[in-house]
Amino acid sequence: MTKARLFVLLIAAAALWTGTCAGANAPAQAPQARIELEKTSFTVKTWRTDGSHIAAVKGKLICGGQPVAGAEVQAGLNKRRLRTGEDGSFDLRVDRSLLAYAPIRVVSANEAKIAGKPIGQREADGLASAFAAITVYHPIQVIGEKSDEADASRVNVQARIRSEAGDAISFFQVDKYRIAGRVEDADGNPVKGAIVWIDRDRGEGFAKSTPTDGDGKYEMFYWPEEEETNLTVIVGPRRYALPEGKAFVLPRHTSVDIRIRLPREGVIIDDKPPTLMCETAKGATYSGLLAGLDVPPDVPYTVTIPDRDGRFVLTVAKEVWERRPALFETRLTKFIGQEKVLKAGDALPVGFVAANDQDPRVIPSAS
Amino acid sequence: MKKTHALIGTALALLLAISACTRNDNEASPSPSPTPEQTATTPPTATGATGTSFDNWGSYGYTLANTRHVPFTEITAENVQDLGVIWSADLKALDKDVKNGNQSYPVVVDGVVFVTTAGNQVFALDAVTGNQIWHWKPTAEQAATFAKAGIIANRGVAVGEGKVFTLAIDNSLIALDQKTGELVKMIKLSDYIDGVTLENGYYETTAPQYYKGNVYIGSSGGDNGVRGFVAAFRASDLTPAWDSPFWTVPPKGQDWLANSRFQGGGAVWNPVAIDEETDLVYFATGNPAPDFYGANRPGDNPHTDSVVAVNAMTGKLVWSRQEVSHDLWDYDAAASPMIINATVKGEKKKLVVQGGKSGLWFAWDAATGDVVWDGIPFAKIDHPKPTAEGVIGYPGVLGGENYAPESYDPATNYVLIPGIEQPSIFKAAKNEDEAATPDFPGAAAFGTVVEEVPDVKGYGTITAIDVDTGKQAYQIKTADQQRGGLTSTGSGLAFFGELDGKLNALDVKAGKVVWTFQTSGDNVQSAPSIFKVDGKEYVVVTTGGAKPKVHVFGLGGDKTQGSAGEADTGGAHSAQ
Repeated sequence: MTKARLFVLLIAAAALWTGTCAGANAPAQAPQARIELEKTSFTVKTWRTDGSHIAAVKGKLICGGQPVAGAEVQAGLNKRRLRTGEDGSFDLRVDRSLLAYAPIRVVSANEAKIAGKPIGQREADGLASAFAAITVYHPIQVIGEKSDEADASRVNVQARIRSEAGDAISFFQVDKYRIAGRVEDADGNPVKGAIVWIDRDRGEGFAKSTPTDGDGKYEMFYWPEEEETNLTVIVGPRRYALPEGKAFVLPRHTSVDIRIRLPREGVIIDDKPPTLMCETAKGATYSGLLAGLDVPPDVPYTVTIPDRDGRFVLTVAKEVWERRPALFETRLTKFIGQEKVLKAGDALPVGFVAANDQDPRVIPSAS
Repeated sequence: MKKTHALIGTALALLLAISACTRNDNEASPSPSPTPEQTATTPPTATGATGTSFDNWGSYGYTLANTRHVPFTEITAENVQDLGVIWSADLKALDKDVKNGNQSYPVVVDGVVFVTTAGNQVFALDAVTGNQIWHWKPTAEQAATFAKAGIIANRGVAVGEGKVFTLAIDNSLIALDQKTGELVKMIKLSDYIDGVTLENGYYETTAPQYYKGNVYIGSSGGDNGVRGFVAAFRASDLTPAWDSPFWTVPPKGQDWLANSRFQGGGAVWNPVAIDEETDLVYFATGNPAPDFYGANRPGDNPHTDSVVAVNAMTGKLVWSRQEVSHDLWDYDAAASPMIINATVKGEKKKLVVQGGKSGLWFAWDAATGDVVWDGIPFAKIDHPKPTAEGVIGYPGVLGGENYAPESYDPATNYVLIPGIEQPSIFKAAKNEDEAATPDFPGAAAFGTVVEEVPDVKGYGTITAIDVDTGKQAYQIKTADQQRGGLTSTGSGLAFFGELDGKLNALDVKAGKVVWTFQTSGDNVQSAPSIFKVDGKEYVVVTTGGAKPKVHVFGLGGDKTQGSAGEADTGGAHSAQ
């Protein structure tokens, strides 16, 4: 067993212990209740055709040392409600292919029984505080630490997000480009509710915009090639199009801004400025896995986009890092409106990466 | 692609005004005697519907096995000429916001016909009179979002626990009160299944299925590059019944999608079949994404173009069998599988059978997935690997067998397959960028690297497979593509519609059409459902096109026929 794995198991054991003692915070008279899970932490395992990335986990609900039957527990928000059996047990299936932090709580004790008898308020209060959690995460290993050259009060932490041998991770990278702009009437006033279509004359692919807002603005996301496309604007029952035989050429691998002025009469868009204007625009939509530091929002830090081996650099105040805060892992999809295309190794600005409640927290292991 | 636009434009331009509901006063008097097959569970006063005893068409495929075979024998080859319209209802006249086209497979419970419309309205109609019992429609605000999906078809409802369940284009799951039609609950699937939104390319056209307290669903959107799934929700409160959906393909970036920009497809866009003896759910999965470019999805792309069996209570995989490995032709396993107790080589076996858009028909042992009949052709099969210049391939992108379901007649041991015989020109994308599909789905997104083959007119087929031998007993041609499906009876008839609006009856054993009726609808793009009220047998079918309607037939009905409709053979993928 590697040190890293041993460390992870220790964390898991600690989490379980915390879960079993949650009842201590209940009212003084309430008996201790706990949710026991045979396993709480899982490393991400790539999706497998045979379903072996799904882990079966047995759990048990105990109150005052006795199993609780007929209660409902839930692992994560908006997930299945699991009814405990006569012996207080329940079965969970954990999808190990996806990052997860799933708190498990008792969500209904209305029909709960202990030793065949309906529970009272004291027991219900105890059950309300029972807690456990399932975590699915990539291990993070700290490779090295050194002072930040620009600011000696900060430290550069070199770390690596790990996966099982042969498993690929999709890190944060360009996902799509944006086609955005404005639809106007012949007088230059914004047209609300119009839909803009881009579609290839030959070959698969099309994009359809959001309806224009009150300012006539729309957007859609696409992978443009340098090619001829049709451009259509739909306003209610009317379809505006380019003159017959005319095609629109989208520039390759860039976002664009297309301003369209509709004709006063007819349905043909005059394909020259100012009625049709297209210019390249900054930015792209990025998507993929990132790591961040699990600290309050007012604690500044930066991280870089991981490279294909999962290596990234965290820069944070030394005093913060010395407290050994946890990291978190998140799958982020975000439009970034800057000209430079971000790539592995680029530092993301302070505040860019934020955790949500379903993101797993990870204690990094030493190298 | 321009052709697709033109088709949409044409459809929108059509206007109509037809009476809401016409009833033939000459309908036969209902027989008061209940039948052995009676399945009514609700007193008639509870539904407000006509009749006292009911033989229901309780779910999408009659039973959850989807065999589409009723044991009824009142309508026969000898008296079928006396079949006529008992009533018909013009859905647009009942509500002006009903959209063009209809692919709803009626469900009939306790004397009430439940049908849905394009645009996700639900009607409950008295099965004997056609009178509207209730009607539900989405709010204008909700319906406005449907336009983001180019396809707004819907294939019906599930009924259970006093509720009617249906799915809306915008990926909502809806529970209505079975008696009143009032909304009980509506959820957004994306609140429970991450990313299932119109913006991500998902949309819903399928009918749900109800079983043992759960509602089972899949979704459309495989051609948009979504990640296919089947999920179960509790009928009581529409909360998840499984810990997670059964995902048919990996998450983007994993396994065979490690280098792909796409979610992989494998959408389950037709209802599941359920074996009530074993608690196994079977479903057919769509093509991998992107449709015609496979370089960045190496390998077999397992679970796509497949039939998959999972445990109904947990969603755990039991078996999976693939029909087309590494599909490059959009050959979904589209239509719902059937579970049949059939004779194979002289022995009784429980099978799961399914015909794909590939033009191949398969049978597997229901419990183990062991192959029984492996890819029996029912269409011309000749599809070279697509090139950038284009190749002619058979079947075309519509199939084979599209979403239209088969039926199984136990008397002859025949499976009847509704087929399409029409090639396409397949053009491969040069690279993944060119193969890219968008965030926002719509009709024009589909099959844009396919073209019709000039001067080749497609047609339809009905193929009878003798399950005992795995060979064709016969194949008949129909004028237009078979896009609705078949429904067979204990008297040896099989009813099916056509794209010109005709409803036909086939003598199953003889392979001969013995009755044809031109409905007043434009086209038939769903299969009939057959039920009984007070012992009398009725056939109900929806028609689509610009004047969506419901027709109910019975012996002694009005034989006045409509004018022939114009076949709507649609563009590539318009069936989905």
